[in-house]
Amino acid sequence: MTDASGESLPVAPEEKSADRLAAEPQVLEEFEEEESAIPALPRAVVSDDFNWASTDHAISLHNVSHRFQGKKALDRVSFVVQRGALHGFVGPNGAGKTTSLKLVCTLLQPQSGRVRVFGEDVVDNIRKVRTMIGFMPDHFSTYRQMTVNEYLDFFAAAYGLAPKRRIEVIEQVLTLVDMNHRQNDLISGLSRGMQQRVGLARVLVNDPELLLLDEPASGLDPRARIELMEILRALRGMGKTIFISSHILSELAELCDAVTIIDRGEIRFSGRIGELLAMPQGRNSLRFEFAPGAPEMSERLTSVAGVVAAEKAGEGAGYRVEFDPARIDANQLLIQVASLGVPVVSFSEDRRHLNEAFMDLTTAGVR
Amino acid sequence: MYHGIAALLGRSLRLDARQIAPNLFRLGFVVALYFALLIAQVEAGSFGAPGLRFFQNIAWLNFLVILFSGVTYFSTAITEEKEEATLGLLRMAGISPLGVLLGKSTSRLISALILLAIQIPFTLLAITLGGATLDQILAAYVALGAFIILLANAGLLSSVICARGGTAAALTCFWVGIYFTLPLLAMYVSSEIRSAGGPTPGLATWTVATTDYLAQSSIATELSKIVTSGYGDFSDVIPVDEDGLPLSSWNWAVWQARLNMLATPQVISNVLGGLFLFGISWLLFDRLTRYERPGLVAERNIFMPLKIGKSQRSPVGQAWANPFIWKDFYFIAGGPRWLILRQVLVWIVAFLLHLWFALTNTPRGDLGIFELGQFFGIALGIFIFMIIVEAAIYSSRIFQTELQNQTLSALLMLPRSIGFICYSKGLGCALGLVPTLVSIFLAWLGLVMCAAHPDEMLRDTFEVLTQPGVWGFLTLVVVFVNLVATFSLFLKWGSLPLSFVIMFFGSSCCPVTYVMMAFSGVRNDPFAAFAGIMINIMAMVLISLVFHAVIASRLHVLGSKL
Repeated sequence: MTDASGESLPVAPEEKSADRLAAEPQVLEEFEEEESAIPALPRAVVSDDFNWASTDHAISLHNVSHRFQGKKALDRVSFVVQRGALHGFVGPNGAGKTTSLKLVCTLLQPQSGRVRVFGEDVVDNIRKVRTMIGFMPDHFSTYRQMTVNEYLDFFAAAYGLAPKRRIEVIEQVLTLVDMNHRQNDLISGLSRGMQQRVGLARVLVNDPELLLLDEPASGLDPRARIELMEILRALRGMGKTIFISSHILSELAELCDAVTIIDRGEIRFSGRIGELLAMPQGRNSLRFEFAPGAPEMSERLTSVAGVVAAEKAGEGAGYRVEFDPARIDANQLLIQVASLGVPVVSFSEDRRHLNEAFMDLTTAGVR
Repeated sequence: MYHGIAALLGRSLRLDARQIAPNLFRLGFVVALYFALLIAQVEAGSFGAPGLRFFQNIAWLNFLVILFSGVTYFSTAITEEKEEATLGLLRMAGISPLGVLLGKSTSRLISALILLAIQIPFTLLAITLGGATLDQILAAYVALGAFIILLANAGLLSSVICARGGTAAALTCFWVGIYFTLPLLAMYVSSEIRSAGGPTPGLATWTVATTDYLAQSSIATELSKIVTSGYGDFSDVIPVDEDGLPLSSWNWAVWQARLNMLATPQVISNVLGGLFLFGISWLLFDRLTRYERPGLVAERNIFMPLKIGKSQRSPVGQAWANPFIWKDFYFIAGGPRWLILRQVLVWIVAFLLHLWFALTNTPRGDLGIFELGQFFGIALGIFIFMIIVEAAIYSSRIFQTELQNQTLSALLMLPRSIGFICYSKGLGCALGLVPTLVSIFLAWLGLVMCAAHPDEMLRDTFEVLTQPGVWGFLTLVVVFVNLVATFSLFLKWGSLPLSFVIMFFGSSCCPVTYVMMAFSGVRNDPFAAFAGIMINIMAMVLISLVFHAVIASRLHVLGSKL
């Protein structure tokens, strides 16, 4: 792809090249297939015959309510997290995120409803559940007087690993979190980011299938956050299910397959992130980004057959184009727009940002 | 500056009034007062001068409470601001160092003095009950007031120097140790000089005067004097009128004499010492608190050497099959190397103590007397005392470390039962007691070997071990240890001294004590002695189980909160 001067323009790797699409119309179909490869997730409200105890659900909460000193923390909460998913959990402060996490990780007993991990009830099979999960709380849960190695060795031994196996496992998890070079350091001397890595390594020593992370990126600097996200991606690649509670929505949107939004103890949304970010009420629109210095394009875009409306989006040369799918599909529209003579830098499905969706679904005010 | 002081003072007093812990503490104190009154009432039938007994109980109760407050309450005046990182904000608000010191410490001093003042009417009942005089009561409260001033400022200095409340409390303990040791040393030096025939020409008279004065500066010595019968007899100092009759006790001249008597070396030295410590705190304040000390995470185990600022240390080896035992053995008890070193140090202390006794209790110049048996006897006493102290400290830290490190949730999520984790942790700490137990055994063995009749010694040992009273004492120690561990889950700090105070007074109304007393004289009846021991063991197990149930439930609650 070139700009007006004929020089190559950088293209964001996640965005689909218009040139490539123009040459290979099936790319968009691949793009759609990628999305549908994520297992379908039921919404909070599902049919009565839904199998909540399925082992395909890494986590399932069914009609769970919990109160603290008479105050409602969770109110008939139901959602599932699919096995192998990287599932975000968002909500305002006091929404019930930490309570939900604590119920899943057996630190709290549900007052009503059922909580299951891979089909196992957290009350009936507490020991089994505990071997399957690793929970990283929102604070550094470390023995500061220990060295990194001693700390991990302690937890590995607590999970019943043999001494030889412990050495191997610690080596592996420290490699994963890139802390091998600091294994003999006292934890008290480590930075926040490093302590967070040690915490993550601790969660991994028993090789749990499900990781529960409560605000893992809070208080970390941008580099440490990005590195943490990389580690989480790597873990997901290893087949782990990751349930992550965070306030950093942009990162969740980028990282997660699915998301659950909770507010005032009630589930507002639970499903694929694509569904959440898709424009509501069946609106079909695409977002086009033209090369810098491109002329005003609204009129030209509206002139394309099948385009219902075109409007400028953002400060650059970006346009939101709404079209009638009965008259033109996305591939044809792209080809038509590309033929207008102004270089298209990128195009993408027009979506809401996660923070927009979050603001729409949650109520203002602090609990 | 005055606005700042007033604001801080007002805030501290309001906070103190709102918080539940100080009010519970006051309530506990009132209960103790009533309890002392009850004891006096009960004893009135059997002993003379119940008023004096009541007054003595109250005076010593105050002494203990002040000591406890000094170590905990006063030591956190500045550290609480440091821990919450609000000291910088106070400084930025333009409050001067003197303002902060006065504002933060005065409220605590006022609270303590008020607590002392409001009980005077109750204590005056001692006069009605008989055996105590108004002068005794006044002297006791003046002495205690002076001691509070000293201790409050010692605590203030500690809180200026240290970054955390725990360390400040430990430092105040150290000051208290010096305070009680120094007069004893002075007393010894003074008596040595006197026994050598008074000050030699090379030894200035003021040295003797200073040591004499210093010897009288301890509140313990002063209070012992005050609470004895006959203290404050003014008969020889009360001025007389023209007819040779003593003036009315409310006459100004009498009050003057009274004031002279109240201004004892202890009172003067304690108040001056307090002012001096305040001055030192003021001098050091700016230097030590100008900048925040981020990331200061000390090894808060007083039994292990501090590792502040170190990033590495020699590893302690792989965790054992039961990692909970391993962890607490190494990181609460200190691990084998430090435990052995500690034993060696205590043996040296025992040796030095014996040497001191030998020097002070034998005729002058006869330094060659060193009885090995006496040495082992002293060592045995020290190690028995030490094992109780160790057990108490371990029990105060066994769960505290998990709370401080916020690791409770991680522990509770392990696929092990809470009982397994707790008992394993307890076993780890108990393992830390083994070297002291070995030392006790060695000291006892030495004692037997040095005895003129070892077989009698063995028989005596057996008799001691089969006394229900000894088992009763052991039961009290077990209750104390459990109480400390339980309180450590409810209080941020001070579980150890609070348990001590509770045990000190509570043991007199504890059923275990009655059992112990009931069977203490049954040495000649083997069956009764056996029954006494069994009852004590059962009581020990039952009480422990109750405490363990409370601990387990509290751990669940705390684990879910973290």
